[in-house]
Amino acid sequence: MKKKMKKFLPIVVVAALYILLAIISFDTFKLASHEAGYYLKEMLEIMPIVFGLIVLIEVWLPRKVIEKHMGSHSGISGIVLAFLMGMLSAGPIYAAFPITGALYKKGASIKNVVIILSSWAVIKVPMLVNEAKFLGIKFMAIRWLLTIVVILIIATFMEILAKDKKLIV
Amino acid sequence: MTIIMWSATGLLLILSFFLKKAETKKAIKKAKAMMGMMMPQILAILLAIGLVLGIIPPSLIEKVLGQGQTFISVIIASAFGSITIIPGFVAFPLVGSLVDQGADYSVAAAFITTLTMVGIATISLESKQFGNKFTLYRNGLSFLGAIVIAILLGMVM
Repeated sequence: MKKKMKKFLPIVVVAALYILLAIISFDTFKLASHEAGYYLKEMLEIMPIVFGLIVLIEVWLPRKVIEKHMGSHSGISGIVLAFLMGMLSAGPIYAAFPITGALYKKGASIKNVVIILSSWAVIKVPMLVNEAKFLGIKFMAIRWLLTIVVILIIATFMEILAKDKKLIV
Repeated sequence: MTIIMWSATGLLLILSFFLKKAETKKAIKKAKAMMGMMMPQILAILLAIGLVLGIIPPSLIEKVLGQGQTFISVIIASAFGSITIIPGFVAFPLVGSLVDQGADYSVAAAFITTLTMVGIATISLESKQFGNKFTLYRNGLSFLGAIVIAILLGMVM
């Protein structure tokens, strides 16, 4: 019971804030609901796919295969694969957590997990197309290159940190 | 696009169910438990983001970022971007018009990069999956990385 309450506490708090906002300024409430509605729709579209993917990874991807292609000894091909997975993904970043989590549990290295998460976040292909449209191809290309280098550094750093102390409990 | 992804995933699941019934059942049970744990949190986060964006409209973000010193704007943009999650199709027109108004490219880069790579809103979800330490380090490093990207990009452009 207590655990259940803890689980739903954040929603109750946010809902209360919405009610408060509706009383203070109904227009702002409408705007906030409209924004939230967009995100909720996106979530409803993406989560069933995430659910399916986790199940499929669990059942069909043998640990050996993931270890070989994305594990600590997967080398450059593992890095390239991780970047490709992140860049060709779709959906918000919170969808990436359970998927990379499933991969990690089956032997993907921390480095490659961080690469997938980061490239999923900032250098997705659909995002790059949009970026070129509004900020120019030059901006997009330079940001893409710089981001890849920075992601590689962050991922390597995370791997070293993970060796030093237990990063993931 | 969503429909294609839905049907593809659905079909594979059905296929998986026929080929490896026991394993698929077990995996579905596990995934269900995980989703059940995540969903209330995701819901609360999304509602909270709606609240923030309702109270702080994009026009205000544009106004704040469009003026003042570049370095300070980079920091403000990074902080802003770290807290909020804004979808690309809203963020890019906003950032584009910022640059058109004379804001530095580095401000634009800082905002875009932190917008999704650093997620204060999703910290609880990330740490549930990977633990507090991992989450803290990854977000911290990404924040610093975003500022480095912003400064370098500002120098090159």
